Amino acid sequence: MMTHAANSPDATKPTGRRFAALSSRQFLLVLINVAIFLVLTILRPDAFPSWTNLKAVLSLMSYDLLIAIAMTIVLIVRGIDLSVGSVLALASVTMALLLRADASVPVALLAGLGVALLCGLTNGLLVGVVGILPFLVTLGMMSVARGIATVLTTGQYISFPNAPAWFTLFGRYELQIPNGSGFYGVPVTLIIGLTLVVVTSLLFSRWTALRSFFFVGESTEAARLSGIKVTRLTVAAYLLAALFVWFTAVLLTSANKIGYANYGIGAEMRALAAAVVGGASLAGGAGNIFGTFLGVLMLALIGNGFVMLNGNPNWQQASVGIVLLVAVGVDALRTYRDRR
Amino acid sequence: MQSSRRGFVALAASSALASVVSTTARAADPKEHYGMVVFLKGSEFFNWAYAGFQDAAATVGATTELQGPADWDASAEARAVDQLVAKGVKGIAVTAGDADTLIASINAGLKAKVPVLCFDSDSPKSNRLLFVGTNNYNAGVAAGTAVAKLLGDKARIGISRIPGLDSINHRVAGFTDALKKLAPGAQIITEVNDEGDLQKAEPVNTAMLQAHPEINVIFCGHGNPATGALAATRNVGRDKEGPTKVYVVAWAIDVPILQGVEKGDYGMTVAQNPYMMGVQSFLELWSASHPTQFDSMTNPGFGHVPTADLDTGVKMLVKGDPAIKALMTPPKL
Repeated sequence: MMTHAANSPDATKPTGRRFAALSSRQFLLVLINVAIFLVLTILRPDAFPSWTNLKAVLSLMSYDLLIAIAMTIVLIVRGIDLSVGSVLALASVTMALLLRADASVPVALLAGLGVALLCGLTNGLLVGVVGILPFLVTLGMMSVARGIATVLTTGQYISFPNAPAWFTLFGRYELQIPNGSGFYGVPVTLIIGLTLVVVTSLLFSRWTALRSFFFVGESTEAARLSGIKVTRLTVAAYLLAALFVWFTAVLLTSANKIGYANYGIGAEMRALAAAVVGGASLAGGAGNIFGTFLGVLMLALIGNGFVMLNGNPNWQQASVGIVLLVAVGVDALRTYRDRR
Repeated sequence: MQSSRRGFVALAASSALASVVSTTARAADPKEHYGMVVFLKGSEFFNWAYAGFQDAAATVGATTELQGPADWDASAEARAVDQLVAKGVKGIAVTAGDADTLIASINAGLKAKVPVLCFDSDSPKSNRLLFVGTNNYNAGVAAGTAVAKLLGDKARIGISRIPGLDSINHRVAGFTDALKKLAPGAQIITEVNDEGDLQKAEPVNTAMLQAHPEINVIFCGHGNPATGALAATRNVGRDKEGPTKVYVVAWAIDVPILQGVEKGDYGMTVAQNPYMMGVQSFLELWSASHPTQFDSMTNPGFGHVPTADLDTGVKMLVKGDPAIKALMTPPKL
């Protein structure tokens, strides 16, 4: 019960439960991340702890982080979104095609946002209004979005060499922070990712509308009887998730200078693993943005460590699956214990 | 640019056509009609292939059509093959979006006495007459030879790949064998799994370069990791010319990659020859649909085609190669 409470709105009340939040799963995740960090530092002191490597780990995990936040949001309302990777690809392709056709950056960004929100709205309406299982709805959207992106591009990279330089440089921009003799380059993707973690965490803890997501996820019927607009909040959750997917598409398209229909393949698995590891539950009503951040960080460190320690490439994808299985198993045990 | 494209096309076409057309004085029945079936219809790669198919057909007065889905739907390809057979075309060249899905349609076509072959992507369990495309082992040898020429025994290579795929295994085997022969001091340091994902390629290649700073070449075993591998060299500050530069060997002819080769960002790229695939596919179909006095030994009732797969080869493209400009102007169909 303690773990569940730590991820529900009550956990953020300024009472003794705040301590409970700190001592729960997130605290454990902090310890695990620190342990992985220390082990890798000991085993590869020459390579792992360098700023270049850490910067790469942190900045490149930002894409997965934003997608995982999207997944966390829909998990909270007892949904799931398997289409996050495909919608990312479709939004990216939309923006790239428009930029290649010499559309202005704002027009391209708005079109990409529109496409992402349309996908989110469709998911939300089919789940919240029509009442189809989220798994089925988003599985369908996964195929539709990826299919459209592939047809639009015939599977090719879409470059946009005539787009304004600021847009193509934006995704790789680094803030220079003095460190005495030189500078640390802090990637803008990392700054955006961390800022969104903080802002979203704060909003989920202080904004009543977002706090109501937890009630919807815990018990739709109880939430409805309490006067909460369940359908509206369910649709809002999918729209909010789509917004984060769009953020990811913008950063990825800018950083790589191409739109691509195969962006985000497997992203839903990594996002699900990170969100569940971080405290979200497939049974709904639980989720923690900071926990998700720690889950993404853990997967990124494991991935980095895999290469650093010359792990067998055949086991790389399996490692994410194992983490997901363990997390889902722990989540199932937790749900079972709570229901008793 | 146009003239360089014409040059590329003419060179490829003339070398292929000379072998067959010059020995065949007769022209085809003007009504002869041939079909090509592809997935990702409209893609530059298959546009090149169809341009070769069309050009070769034009030399004997035959007509052609291109069918297939704009996505990866192999079942739609199978339907397209069925429809072409029903239409009574003289031959079909198909690239298999999924090897097994197309078996029934290919076999049905042959049973109806329509010659069917595979190009670029094979369906080896079908009865297709032959496969026309890139021999992955030989292509790997070409890449290994180019790296041996570039860095010799000093080459220290990291490979970005998807584990377990036969096509990539063959490429890596050819690459390794060429290095062993031509630069025995060169070493393959490690391999990473990019999961076939452009996004994933950057973190794994960055980590690889951090873990193994002696690496000075990243060999991309397939099309997707090139941009991520290049970004990885930038992440570790080893993308500029000089003693610490890491050369990225790409495996793609997408325009952004070709632009990168032309700018010197990529060390080189392995360029397959889809135009030649189209040319050779047509010529073999034409031959199969015109039996001579001596039937094909392997496919009675059809004309002769090679019994072995037909390798259309690759070219290692480096900065300044005129073929880059040609490839950057794909045919519009």
